[in-house]
Amino acid sequence: MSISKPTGAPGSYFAALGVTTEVLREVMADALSKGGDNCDLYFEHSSSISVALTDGKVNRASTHISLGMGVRVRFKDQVGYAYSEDLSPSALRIAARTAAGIANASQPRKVAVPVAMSLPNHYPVISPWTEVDIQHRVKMVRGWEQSAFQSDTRIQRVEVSLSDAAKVVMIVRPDGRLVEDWRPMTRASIQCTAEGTGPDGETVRESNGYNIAGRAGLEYYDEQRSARLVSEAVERTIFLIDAISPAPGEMPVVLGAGPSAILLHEAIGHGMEADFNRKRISIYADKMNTVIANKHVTIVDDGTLLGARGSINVDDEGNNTERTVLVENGRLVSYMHDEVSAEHYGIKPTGSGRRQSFRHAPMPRMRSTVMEAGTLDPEEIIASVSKGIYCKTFSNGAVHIGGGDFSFYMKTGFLIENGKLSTPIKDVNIIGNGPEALLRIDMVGNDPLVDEGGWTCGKDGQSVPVSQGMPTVRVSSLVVGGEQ
Amino acid sequence: MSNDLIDAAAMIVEMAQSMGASEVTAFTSHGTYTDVKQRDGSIEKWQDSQSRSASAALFVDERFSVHSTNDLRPQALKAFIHRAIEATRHLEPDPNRRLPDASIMGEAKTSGLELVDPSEPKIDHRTWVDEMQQATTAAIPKNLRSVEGFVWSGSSASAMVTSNGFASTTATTEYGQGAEVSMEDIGGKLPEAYDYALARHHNDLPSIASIAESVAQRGAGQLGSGPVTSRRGAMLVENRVASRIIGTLVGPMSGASIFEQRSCMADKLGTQIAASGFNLIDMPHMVRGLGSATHDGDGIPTTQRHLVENGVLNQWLINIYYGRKLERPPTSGGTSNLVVPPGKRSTDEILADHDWTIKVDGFLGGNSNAATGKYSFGIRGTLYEKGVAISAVSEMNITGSIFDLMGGFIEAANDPWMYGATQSPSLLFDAVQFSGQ
Repeated sequence: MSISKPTGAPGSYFAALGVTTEVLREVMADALSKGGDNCDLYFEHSSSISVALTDGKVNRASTHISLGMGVRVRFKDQVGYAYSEDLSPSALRIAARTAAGIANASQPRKVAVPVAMSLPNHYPVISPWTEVDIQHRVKMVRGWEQSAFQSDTRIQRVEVSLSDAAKVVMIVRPDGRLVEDWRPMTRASIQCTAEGTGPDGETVRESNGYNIAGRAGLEYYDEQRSARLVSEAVERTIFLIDAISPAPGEMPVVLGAGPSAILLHEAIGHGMEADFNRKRISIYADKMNTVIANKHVTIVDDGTLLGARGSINVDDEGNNTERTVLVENGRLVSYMHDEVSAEHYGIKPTGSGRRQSFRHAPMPRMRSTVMEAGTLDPEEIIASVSKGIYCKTFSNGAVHIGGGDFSFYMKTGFLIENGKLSTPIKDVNIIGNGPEALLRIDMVGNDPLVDEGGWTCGKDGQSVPVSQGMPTVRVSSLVVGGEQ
Repeated sequence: MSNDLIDAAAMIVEMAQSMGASEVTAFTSHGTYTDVKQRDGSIEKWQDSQSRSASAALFVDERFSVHSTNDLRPQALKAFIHRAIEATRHLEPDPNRRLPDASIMGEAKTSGLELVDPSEPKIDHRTWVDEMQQATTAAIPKNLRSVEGFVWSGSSASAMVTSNGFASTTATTEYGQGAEVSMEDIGGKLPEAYDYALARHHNDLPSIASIAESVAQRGAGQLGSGPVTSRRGAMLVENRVASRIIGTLVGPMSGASIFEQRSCMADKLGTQIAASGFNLIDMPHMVRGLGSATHDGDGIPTTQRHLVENGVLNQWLINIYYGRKLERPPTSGGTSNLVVPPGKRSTDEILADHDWTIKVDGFLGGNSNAATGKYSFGIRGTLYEKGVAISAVSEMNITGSIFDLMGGFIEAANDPWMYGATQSPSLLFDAVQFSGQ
């Protein structure tokens, strides 16, 4: 039930649903009828399908379709927003006039004739999901389940899901820009339950899993990635059986390459979204062009990574996406901007205006947030710690934007004793302060890795897909949860 | 609107059956909301929303699938259901997936849940949000960076129709108001604090002044915060955030977790999982309750359930499907209004009784392991010694087992939080592991 990539000229997909050029101009004219400074129309048609295996059977499927248009009217820093799930001209115009109410000037603005613009393609698809029948999905899910059971006799139960989705979005602006983007997404997840003998000889039952996601077709699940999906799910579950809770307190923390980039996302990324800085409520609001990290630290937010879950060909305001350098050799050089913040600061937007769906107004969001490689071998970093922990995988994180406090939940890791990884550890929250943690990153590895997990970022009630990555780093001190 | 929703759901049931579904449950809904935010004297965002949706659970040749759409154009809907049924045929059969027996379906007889405000208040959102923001600004004499006031109002209606004759509609209204502040602290930190309330009836909202005062106190309480030394000690979880603890306790009670053998509650039915003073009751028939309902998602009449009684786990949360899988009678798969009965003493009296207590007023991230019951959460709050506030606390974690935490439950305060589907007073626990400096 996925939506095929449109083959017609940009704009023709929604024109076939009655949204003609003339309708677009009328709706935008209504949106700006009360003197709004600018507006955007965001049309979206999305579809998804998921099949799931539980209790040994591929016995559940779900599909979802969503269609609508959101209209945002800007008046200075103010936003009026409305949406319609009915694409008839009359319904669209009612939504536009509702959003227009944010402004109170008397002079309506002019609307140019929409002209389609071409886009780059950061997510080429070789085998579209529209050509994959449900029997094939069932076969894939069944195969992964069997592989998981065959991997380790301690695996007791396996749950698997495979989903794919696609959306066509069209963004139209009063200056005449019209862009249309087709955005595929696929995600696979395996959850295992295992039973074994714990560190004290007791019987332990644990559950854990692994998921992967990207903007891709069936080709995403090649032999190597499929094998990794299974092996990671199994190994991450078995790992927990022997693991313990570490002792609590402040200590050096080595963050392994890849998933540890949740540190970037929570401790740094959100605070560099420009809306928080425009409002002067981010802890980074007064730090532009100052040194905020060790000189070995360079952080970028990139919308152009090939096939990455966080990639976009164009942002949800119709602006080109890009690779935005946020921190360059320790110096803060840019925030992530949507149009509202870019206008506030008098600069170009960074293509970071994103939204969950047509039901939501865009705002600055992360795409793929990554730290660039340093020079040190990961082993050298671990060897530098006499007593601390090494974090391998994570489940989630959170941040207070203004205070800068952040936390992330470590699912699996190791104690570090005398420069070596020792006892497996699990299930502890790690907490710190963003700017302080940045300054405490004192070693950066040469092993950068973009994590392939299906990360989703939440902000102000909106969820968007993101990616993240980093090399192995050492943070000289963070507060680690745990038990005595 | 209710009749329209019922008609639409019935049409989906009929359409799906005519295309080959043996049984069908259809849901339809419609909602209208206005959501306004104002920051420092200027409207920041004004959003008007009108949403609609339809979904169907299909049972086709003992196979099961669920589908949702908001594209309700007749031809689009027809094609959608046709494709959904064809997709379902390719799944593996699961004979436990079928509707409940019609004889056990229906709505609980209540004296009226009052989920809709009949007064239809005429709301001027611009004035309302301005009053909310300005009152908060006025309540904070120093260290203030920025204030955002927010208000919202809305109504929704939904219908559920099944192919074996069950039909029901539900309508609700909701009103909410609150504010969030950013304070100026040492070291360039800008800690945030917020408070809010929501209610089914507009007149049930607390005064704007009381929320503004609460936000101001919370903002001032964030200044100069930091971690204190790691140790075990007493923890008073504020009523407003106690849902985090309740949720950690209730999550592993779900039938899915039990059946999939990833629940720490799997062998706990009828056993002590908390101190004997702890009780947790699911109250679906609470008048004006934010979680109130006359039937559950299977169409079974709701009843009050004493989930944890004097510390003993009385029930799991088992819906029709997992009831069949576990060969147990269903108890309803979800919860409605989760209530912890209040105690007799105020939080001040409780704090004064203890040498060292961290009062937690917010959680930051963290997670729990449903299979083992282990949890680890970031916290912030205030350290008290014999009832005297000593320092603001942040950048700390609590870690342990949910069973140890609940076993250390000492008492509930007399301040139940009324503005959510979890209505708990502040809860005091002993010997909680805090990690900080």
